[in-house]
Amino acid sequence: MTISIGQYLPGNSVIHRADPRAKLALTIVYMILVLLTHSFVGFGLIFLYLAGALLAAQIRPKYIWNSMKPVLLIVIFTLVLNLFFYQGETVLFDRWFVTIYLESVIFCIRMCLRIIFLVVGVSIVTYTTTPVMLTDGIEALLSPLKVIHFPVHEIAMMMSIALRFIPTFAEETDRIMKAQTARGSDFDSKNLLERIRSFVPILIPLFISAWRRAEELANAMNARCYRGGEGRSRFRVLKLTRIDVVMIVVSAVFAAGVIVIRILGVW
Amino acid sequence: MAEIIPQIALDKVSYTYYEAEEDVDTRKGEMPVPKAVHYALEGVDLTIRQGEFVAIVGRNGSGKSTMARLMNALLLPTEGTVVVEGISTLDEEQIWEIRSRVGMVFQNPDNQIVGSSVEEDVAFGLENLGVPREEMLQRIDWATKTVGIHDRMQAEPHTLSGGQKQRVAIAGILAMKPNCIVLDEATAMLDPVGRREVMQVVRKLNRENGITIVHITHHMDEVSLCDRAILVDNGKMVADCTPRGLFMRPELVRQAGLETPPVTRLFEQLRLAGIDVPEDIITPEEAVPVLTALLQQSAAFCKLSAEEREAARRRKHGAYIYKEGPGSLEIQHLSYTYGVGTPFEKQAIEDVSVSVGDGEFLGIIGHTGCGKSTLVQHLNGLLQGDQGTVFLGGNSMEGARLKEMRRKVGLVFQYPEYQLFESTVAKDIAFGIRGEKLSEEETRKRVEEAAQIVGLSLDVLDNSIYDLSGGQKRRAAIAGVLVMKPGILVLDEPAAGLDPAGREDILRFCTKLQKEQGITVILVSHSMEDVARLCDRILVMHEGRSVMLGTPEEIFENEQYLTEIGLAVPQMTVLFHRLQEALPDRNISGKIYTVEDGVDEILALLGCGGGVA
Repeated sequence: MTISIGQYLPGNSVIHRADPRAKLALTIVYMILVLLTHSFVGFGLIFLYLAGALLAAQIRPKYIWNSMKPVLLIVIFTLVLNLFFYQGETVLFDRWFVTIYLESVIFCIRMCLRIIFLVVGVSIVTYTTTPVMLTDGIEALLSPLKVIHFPVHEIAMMMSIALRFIPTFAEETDRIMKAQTARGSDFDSKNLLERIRSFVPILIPLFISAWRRAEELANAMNARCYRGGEGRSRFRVLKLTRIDVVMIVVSAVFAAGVIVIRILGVW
Repeated sequence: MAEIIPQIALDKVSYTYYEAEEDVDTRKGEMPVPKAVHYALEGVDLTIRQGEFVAIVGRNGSGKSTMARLMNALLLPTEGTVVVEGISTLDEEQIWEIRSRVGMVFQNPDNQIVGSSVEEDVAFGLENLGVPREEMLQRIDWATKTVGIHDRMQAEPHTLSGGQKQRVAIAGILAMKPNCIVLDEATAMLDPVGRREVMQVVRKLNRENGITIVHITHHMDEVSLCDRAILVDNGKMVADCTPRGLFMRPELVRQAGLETPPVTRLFEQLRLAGIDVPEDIITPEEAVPVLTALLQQSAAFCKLSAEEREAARRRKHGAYIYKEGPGSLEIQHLSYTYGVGTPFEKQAIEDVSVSVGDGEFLGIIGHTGCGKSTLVQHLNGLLQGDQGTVFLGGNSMEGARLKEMRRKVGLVFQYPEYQLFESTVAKDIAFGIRGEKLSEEETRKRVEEAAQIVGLSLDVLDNSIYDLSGGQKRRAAIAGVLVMKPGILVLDEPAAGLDPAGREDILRFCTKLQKEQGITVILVSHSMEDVARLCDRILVMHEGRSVMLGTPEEIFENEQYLTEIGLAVPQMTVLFHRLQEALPDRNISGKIYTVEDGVDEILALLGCGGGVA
């Protein structure tokens, strides 16, 4: 059985090769800008930036749609709710109990654009960065917190071990499910209570197994002289390259544009 | 003579653990009172010198793993001292120094890989030691080349085979430049191919790089590759000699729950029959010249031809007759592909057709990845073929009757003890019959019956599953399948990871079920010795196809073909094939695959009554 972890789409575009720290930092800036933006000119600018990033990352439209699917329901829900309950001045439509204002329509469009821009923007990063690189990037970005004794190294180690064991547990779950099915467990019973109960024989062995694995792994790490983050050297080193510099400069120009538009109050 | 440095010295070492009294309320500050003191090791004196290749052998629970863990301070001795290159393991300051000199490879390949790719995992120990990155890259390169995993540097761990994973683990330790590597049952969970890979690598490290190897195992064929064998039983060291010296004391080996190689057993039996043969034969290569000389000296001539002797043996074993019945399985043109439509699509089995007779004992052999496990999952409908059908007692296994038919085919997965989950042993065994609406007494009766078949003491039925030993858990899990009274029992390597005595127990009740209750048994196994001895017929799988089906003598005749597809033949068969080649005119049978038949054949050839006649 083979399992792919995370959303990573293998590739070799400039965005794939960019430093995860740069990508993560820019994502945070991008998110702030999206939330700040008010005007449609500003949204237009963000759209251009996003389109440029998608092209550079060579992500096929199909995957953009895939990343949108899970939030579609939220978007529609927000849309409907705001459309009917947002109060405004200019009445566009008024019949039966329903009154729709122009302001509410504009507000809804803004909300939707923000959600879509946020989701697509973040998914560019997850599509182009392996989970391991993401962990490294997060560790590097959080490292200033070490000053206040925040366990940055430990958290990063936990994350990477968790990632490493996902395929192992997926295989194990499959095996235990089959073994219990062979003993008469029924995982597709129509009775909901039955169905929930049928997962106990899977969860308990999995839980026990996780403990056993954790203990053995701890032993193995101990035997290989693991004693926390102090005094450790690193095999994977992150290096900023020209790609990152270009990416940061382009993003800075774009950010300046969005901020100027916001300050000038352009529509 | 230069003084040889003792690398690891155990001086009167004992390791004990306590079983705590249960009824103590620790919240009230009461200290648990030790109920009993168990000695995992008792008074062990052992010195391992630099460059040695030592095997530590013993049954499950004999204390051999404890011994290994004392050697790199993962455990500290309760009494006595362990000194590694002059440093006591009790010296807390030096603990990391000791661990960087004595590396350790563990049993479960999955639970010791930390990195998400091969190179990252090999780097892990180096990162911990603070090795600069430049040097790290060189060492990783060297270590991965040495263990032969260099071409898979970027591979993710779960895509590797067991043998590859263990070699990654060895590389990870090797890169730390240790003087000694301890393998704590590192081959126990591997298939024969993986075991061979690992043994080759550690032997090379020992011979070429002078690294001391301490190999903990219960596989006696691996012991003969070592220089020194230490036998541990019940926490005590009972023998410390060469592997040959150990095999020359078969009684001692058997008492310790292990077994000597088939060839050694053959010679032992020949001596018992009054033939004058040496005691120290441990491989077929050594045995051939000895037996050749013996046969050439003897002027006696066997009255029966090889064919007549073979026919007599067949009569003795009881010839296999295929018969249809409620317990017969018919597999027709079965194909199955994993992950259809994904980039990971892989055809696991292709056009497999096999008929399994009612009450037959069928063995399935083939190396890892040949499709054996996929095939057996079709036998009770856990997987449904893309093409082809499985018929149980004449009815096809699909649709509405599937659930009912599934109960007739008991499937025991590999390492079934991992699926135990109930609070007590009895409840767990009864899980499979909870849907039958039996009264409490009836349920209990069924549970006890199943427990008795697998040889599980009735006293433990109301204990927690966590109180059982590894072997007992395995039996409890098998009882949990037998309780459903299946007409067909399918076992996927039921003896994996067990010591010889434990393996023997499990195989014994499988045979008993087949012989006494007429249950059809299908056994997937890596042990040619076991399938040769137990099975009526053997199915050989290779690359998803069934390539051979026949009685053991029909299958093992094809030594060359089996070797080509990465399988072996039983040691006895190898021996008699070589004998045939050495003495073509003596009419020696090549259809020998068990020690008993081997003894029988030699005696017959020597004209000593010839047992079978």
